[in-house]
Amino acid sequence: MNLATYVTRRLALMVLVVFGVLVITFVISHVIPADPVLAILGGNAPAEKVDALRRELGLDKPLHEQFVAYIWGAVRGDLGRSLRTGRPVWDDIQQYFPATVELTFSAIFLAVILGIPLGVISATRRNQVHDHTTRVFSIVGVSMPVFWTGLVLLLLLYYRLGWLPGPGRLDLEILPPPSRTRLLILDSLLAGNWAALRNAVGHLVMPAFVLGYLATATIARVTRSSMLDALHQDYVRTARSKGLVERVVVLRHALRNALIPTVTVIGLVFGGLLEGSVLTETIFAWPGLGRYITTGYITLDYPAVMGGTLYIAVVYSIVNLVVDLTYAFLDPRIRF
Amino acid sequence: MRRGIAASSLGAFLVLALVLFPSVPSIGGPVDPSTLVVGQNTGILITLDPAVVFEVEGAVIVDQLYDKLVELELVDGKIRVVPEVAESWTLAPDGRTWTFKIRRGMKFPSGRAVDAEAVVYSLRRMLRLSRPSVYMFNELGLTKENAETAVKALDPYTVQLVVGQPFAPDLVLAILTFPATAVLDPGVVEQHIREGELAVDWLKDHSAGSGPYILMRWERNEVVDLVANATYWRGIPPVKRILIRDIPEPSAQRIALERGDIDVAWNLTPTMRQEIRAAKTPGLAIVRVPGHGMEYLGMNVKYAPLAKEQVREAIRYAIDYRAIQEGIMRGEGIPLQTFVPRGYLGYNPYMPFKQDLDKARKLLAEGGYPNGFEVELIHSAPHPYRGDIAVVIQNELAKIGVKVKIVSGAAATMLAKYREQGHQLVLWGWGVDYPDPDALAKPFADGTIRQLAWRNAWMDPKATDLTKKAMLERDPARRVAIYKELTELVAHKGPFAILFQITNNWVIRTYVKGFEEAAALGTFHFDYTKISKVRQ
Repeated sequence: MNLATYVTRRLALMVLVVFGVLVITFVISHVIPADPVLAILGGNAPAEKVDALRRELGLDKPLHEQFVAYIWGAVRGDLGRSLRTGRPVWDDIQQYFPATVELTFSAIFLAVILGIPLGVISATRRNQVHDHTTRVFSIVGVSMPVFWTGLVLLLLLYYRLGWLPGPGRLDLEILPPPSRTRLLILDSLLAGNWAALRNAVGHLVMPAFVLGYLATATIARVTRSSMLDALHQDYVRTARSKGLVERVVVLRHALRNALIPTVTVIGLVFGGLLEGSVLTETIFAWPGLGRYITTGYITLDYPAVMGGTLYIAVVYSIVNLVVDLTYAFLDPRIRF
Repeated sequence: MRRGIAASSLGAFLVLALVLFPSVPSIGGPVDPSTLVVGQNTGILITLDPAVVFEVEGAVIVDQLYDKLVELELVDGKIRVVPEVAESWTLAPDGRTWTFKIRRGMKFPSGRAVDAEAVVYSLRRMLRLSRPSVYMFNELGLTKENAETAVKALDPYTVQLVVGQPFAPDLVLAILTFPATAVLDPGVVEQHIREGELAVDWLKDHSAGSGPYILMRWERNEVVDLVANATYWRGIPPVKRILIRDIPEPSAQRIALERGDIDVAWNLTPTMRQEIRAAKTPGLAIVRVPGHGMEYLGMNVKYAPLAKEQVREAIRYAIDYRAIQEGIMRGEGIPLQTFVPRGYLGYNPYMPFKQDLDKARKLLAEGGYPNGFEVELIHSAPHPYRGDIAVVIQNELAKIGVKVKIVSGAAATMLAKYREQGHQLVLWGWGVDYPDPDALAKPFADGTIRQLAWRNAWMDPKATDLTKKAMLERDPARRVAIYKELTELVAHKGPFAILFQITNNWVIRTYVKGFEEAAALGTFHFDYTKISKVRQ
């Protein structure tokens, strides 16, 4: 199979995956015994108003008709209007997704630049202090709830020490750059607004670290074990016997081969980060898509939940496709 | 080499972190007396269009952006309707035709006068849009269909309003204080109308009013930015800019408040307030005002034991109201046992119930259940205090032999069950839409309306009759007398045990002055113009 055929096949599968996600989200959100109309109007609303709004929103129609109408709209690029805000869901996604992208990608960036070196150090100094420290760091990372870590860091780095700014994406007195991409850091760079850039990155450090901690721990653990495996392979022994310096042996020979499981895990934890961003966004007042979807769930705003989930499913599938494609670059023996 | 990897990665991280540590923001702190920074969960905001807004948080913001025909004021602890855009009004002998004289000299920021045309335009727009809050105007006989004839400008500074029946004047005026009656600048609105939508999209996040503040920007889930309106008829307020910063998580709100980065925390939990109160945290003050609603236990008379009047009365005598108010609410609930809250016309301080288990057992036996019965109690969760109150009720009722099974679930799920009369006991709350006893008598006393009495399957012809009579009674003293009779009837025969009146609570920095006066009417009329910040 050549690359083009492989990508085409994966894209076709992606359509199926996304459709499956939509079916599941639709069924779950529609079978729970709660009424979105009541969520909009509140408990005080007279029954006639409730019935009238239900008809207006088309929620009185049979489930299958509502689903077909939704899919037909989605195919044409119309994700419907939020039941709560009345705004097109697509507009909401465009507004909130960039903040999530900024947060998630920063988290994965931090996780990679910290997780891989930690894994390598652990493996090369097996059962020494560095290894034990890294293992404790990893165990704490995978077992600590994001919510708790977030609050503790806020308390420490923002409240007690004042080293980092508090919740939000930008200090209130900083004039935001003109919104071109809605990615605050990129917009600040494009506008040459260095004060906004500094401030925006400062705001990003804590939530990105909190979100990335779990991923760092996972990446470090996987890197450690695959490095240990690689370091005992014949080609490493050969490299050492050729007299290569240890740095070259570890980085060029062992690490490159050990990276394939790590790359796989990076793709997988990315989904976890998108999911985990919900809590991080709430603690750090980050105006992202995770919080939009959660509010949608709480207020039974089906179009918002479905639109947001659909979008995240597509992004997640694409990221994993990209991850799979990188295998070939890491290991030239891999063919699609 | 190994040291190299470790050093470079750690070094990169430290450099990144050190370079990026910015100074902590100071805006909104005591050094900046012209800007008030409020920390609030703004995720709940949907729109700032006065004709559409129905959320409390949205209504409070809309209140800053627009003036209404009439406004609320607290006079000697009582809610009164006072002039605003209308400087005076008269009611014709037919009891239906209201004439409002519009105040001269008021202007919109565009320079256009706030006149009869603007008032009529705004009221008709609200009726035509017919959004959920319009129900109260429909009850007055003002509808989409009669908008043209019922609301008229008699001359440039006189507006006529013809309501459907000769309602109690206080009731009509109370409904006219709802944000939906806000006066909009017709010229500005017309510029932004798209086909058939009356500028609903534009007014979601723009303002077109003559109120003390103008909406500069609303970045959803980030910040709502209000600046003082230089043309405001009462003069520019002391606080020139209000920044409502979105901080959804109460713990994060508290940290920001204690650090001084925000001046007001809108959504701290009762536990946090209790901690702050107990610790006497320096620099912080708690503001508490009576809220517009109450918590109650509803008893569905469709369930056989609860159909007996004596059984319902027994439950009312078995509840330990003090334990709930002091032990759980820690003083954040105001004692109340009738359905008209403190401050309202017709408030009845009648409080016949305090825990008397012997009396409760006797009543239970009279009702035919000497050994008690089993009953299910539903409530919404998560909730700051309902779970604890449910447990107290469960314990106290067990003492008279009534075995309570508590079932909690998501608010929307439990509400759906309650609205279909699917419960036995329910622990719920009621929030008032307009500050008149009619807004409470209808749900609590009139079983012919599909509201609270109906949901608990309680119908009493006398209560229904009194509700309707009070709605049309034009003499305030006689009206008060009717509500006294009605509230006492419902207190003893009705399907409710009213537990307490809610309060609204904020935690503020002590350099914020005038907050208590600004918040005196709770969220019905929050007056930011009374707030100032004093340098320390």
